[in-house]
Amino acid sequence: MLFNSFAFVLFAVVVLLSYHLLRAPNQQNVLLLAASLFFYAYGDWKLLSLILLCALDGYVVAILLHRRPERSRPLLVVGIAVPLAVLGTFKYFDFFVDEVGRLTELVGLGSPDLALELALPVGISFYTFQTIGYVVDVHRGLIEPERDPLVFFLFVTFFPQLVAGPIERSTNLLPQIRRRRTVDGQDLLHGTYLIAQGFTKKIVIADNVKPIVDSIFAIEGASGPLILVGSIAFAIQIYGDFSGYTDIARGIARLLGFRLLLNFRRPYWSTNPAEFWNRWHITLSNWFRDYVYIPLGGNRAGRSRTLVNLMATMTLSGLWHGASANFVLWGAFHGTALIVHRVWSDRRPGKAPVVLGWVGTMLVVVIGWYMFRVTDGGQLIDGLSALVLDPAFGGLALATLGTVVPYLALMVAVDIVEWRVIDRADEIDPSWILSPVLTSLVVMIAVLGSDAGGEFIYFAF
Amino acid sequence: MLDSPASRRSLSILLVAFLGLVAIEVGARLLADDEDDTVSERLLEPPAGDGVWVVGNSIFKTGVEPTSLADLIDRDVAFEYHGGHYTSLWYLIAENALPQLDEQPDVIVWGFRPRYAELPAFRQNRPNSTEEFEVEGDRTYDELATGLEGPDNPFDQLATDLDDQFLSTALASHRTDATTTVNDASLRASLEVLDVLGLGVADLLRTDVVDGDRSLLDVMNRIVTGGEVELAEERVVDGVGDFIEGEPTRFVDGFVPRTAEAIADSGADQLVVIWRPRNMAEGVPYEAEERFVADALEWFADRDIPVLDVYHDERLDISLYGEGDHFNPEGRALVTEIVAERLAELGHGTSSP
Repeated sequence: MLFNSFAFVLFAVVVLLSYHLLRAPNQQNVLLLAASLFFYAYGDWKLLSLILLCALDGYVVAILLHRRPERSRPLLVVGIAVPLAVLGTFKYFDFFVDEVGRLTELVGLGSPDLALELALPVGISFYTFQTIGYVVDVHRGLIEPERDPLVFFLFVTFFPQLVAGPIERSTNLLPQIRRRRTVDGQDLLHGTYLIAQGFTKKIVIADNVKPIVDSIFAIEGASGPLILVGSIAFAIQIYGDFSGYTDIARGIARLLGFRLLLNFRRPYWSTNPAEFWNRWHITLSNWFRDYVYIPLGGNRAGRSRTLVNLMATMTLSGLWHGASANFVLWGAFHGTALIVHRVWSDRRPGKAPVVLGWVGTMLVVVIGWYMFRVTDGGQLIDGLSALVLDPAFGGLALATLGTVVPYLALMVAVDIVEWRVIDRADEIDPSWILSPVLTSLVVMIAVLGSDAGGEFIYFAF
Repeated sequence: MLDSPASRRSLSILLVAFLGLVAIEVGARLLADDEDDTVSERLLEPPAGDGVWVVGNSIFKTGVEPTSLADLIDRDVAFEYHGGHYTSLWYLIAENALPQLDEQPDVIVWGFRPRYAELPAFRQNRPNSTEEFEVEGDRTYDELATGLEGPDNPFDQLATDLDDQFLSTALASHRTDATTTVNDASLRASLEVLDVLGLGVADLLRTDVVDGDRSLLDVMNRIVTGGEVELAEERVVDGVGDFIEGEPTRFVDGFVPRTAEAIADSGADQLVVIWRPRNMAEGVPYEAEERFVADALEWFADRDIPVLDVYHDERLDISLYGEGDHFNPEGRALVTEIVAERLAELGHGTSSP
């Protein structure tokens, strides 16, 4: 079920009203679990088996880890292997078969036709990682295993963040599911505001920029300036699309009395690559930091090893986004940027000028988005060459960039309100400025919202 | 919920925001023009009278170059382009908008692809639904459109009703116009910047986009690729998916003959183009399509309605095709000439290229 559909609006209204009519947390949890399963099954009920399999694995393994500490290692392997197997089968199997086929063809062995051609289940990358994180947390003793299956299955399937995150940590979400939740006026205000902000980002900003992105990326032989403008427009689109989803998810959760983790903190305000990854898809960055980078040794095993760990983590993070070489390249590109930044920072501890740092970081991010958006290898190489070598159609590119400016301006305005008001909601009294801003957002959604956007980009991951 | 000052203040803020929204909606309703516009006022590019009026979708957009056609036949050409639409819309335009025009065009050029015409209810979902030209009580349209698949459960039906309610608000009812206004304003501003920078492309964009009927993306694509037509509208709609299809039907039971009859009743001449789909260019005819086209040719011949049978035109080989059934620049040049020749044969314009 898409957030930007009236089916979801109806669903959310029914769930919210029913939820607040129930008083006991257990009853509310039953309702939320049923609603979450309905939400996930709405598109294709058969996919429920996968998410339930992953949840069952996490639930059983965590309890066994606690009961049989002497067998923790094999149990941990099982706890991680099942979700990884589900993810590998549905998301990566065909990719690796294709790549192996190319190699065997190169050496004259032909290309075996082993592809499964399975449809990618929505949200699979998110709920498998959330389950793995939980099992590892129990193994590390950070959290007690959850014995109430209702609580645990709701943790894995909680509908606001089920299909595109934030990737929740057991230490944050599980305690909230267990306890009685209250919703006060501030929750209502900020939940509503986040939802309005999310819809603005998605259907006003991202979906209105989408046709420009689609068109530029469809042009064969686009010049460097056009590719640059297309990539800038895509940077706006993907930020509006993904952070918009997260805002709606966090807003809905807030109206239910939950606080989901922050996933974006104005990423395009970053002045270096490391800061960007502390602001973009924060829950995924933290997941890779805690469950990949640190277990690899992090920065504790010498400088060279740190750099290798950084590159390995970022490349895997790229692969997480999709079973395609361009995502791996995108991850490695950002890994390289992080390494260059780290080496530079080590040698020149003084801060680089802010403007210079911002321009350099945005250049890396925007070129990275080009790699992310183009899945065809030939087009990617041609495009990257054109970026450097083909300065044609500058005027045309500038005119096209002009049509993106209103949406860029709106994005900056939304970010500023978030920075000054929403992020400080727990420190300062609710601001009256939110009244006209909230009204304006809803008016913009009604008047400028696009009908044509369709799915959220990150549903494909 | 009201147990703290911050909580009460938050609810007040929310209430004021809601009241503000209600006030704006009420204001928008009061300011809205009470009189419904006529159906013909919804046309994008109405004919200027005495000229050629091309009505069609992306197949026409990639198949006929209006400027070249105008030059070839020495007549004004207006292009009523609706990306992603099919025969149901041509019917609604002919039936409901055409009679309201003060001045009829000399000739209307329209057409169909048999694969889609045999599905009278075929259309795409909301982003380009056909209701714009629909008038209540059109029993012909309603009967032919009965094949439309509606929501198949009460939940979806309720969601659809909610969607309709939202779109009927004063604020949401003009959303396309508002977006176009914002996009046009930003384009004009960027053209001013281009002028200041002395970049000549501004003049072209002013002529083709601001004063003309092309989109910026279309012009950009044509310039960079040497003539390809941008089909962003189609791709956006395809991205949404949800093609709605009815049961296949015989030619005589579909929208095409009714459209032809409505145009004939209006007094305008017409030229019906039966398009050649890609599979024909690849030498793979489909039996159902062949039968549909044979029936169509017979029906039009019986009524002396001029047809341009591109479907069987073997000059249009696969090298002239671009994306899907659409033509590339070479294909468009040839099809434009073919249309011009046929119009000239029918007495609409000069015959010499």
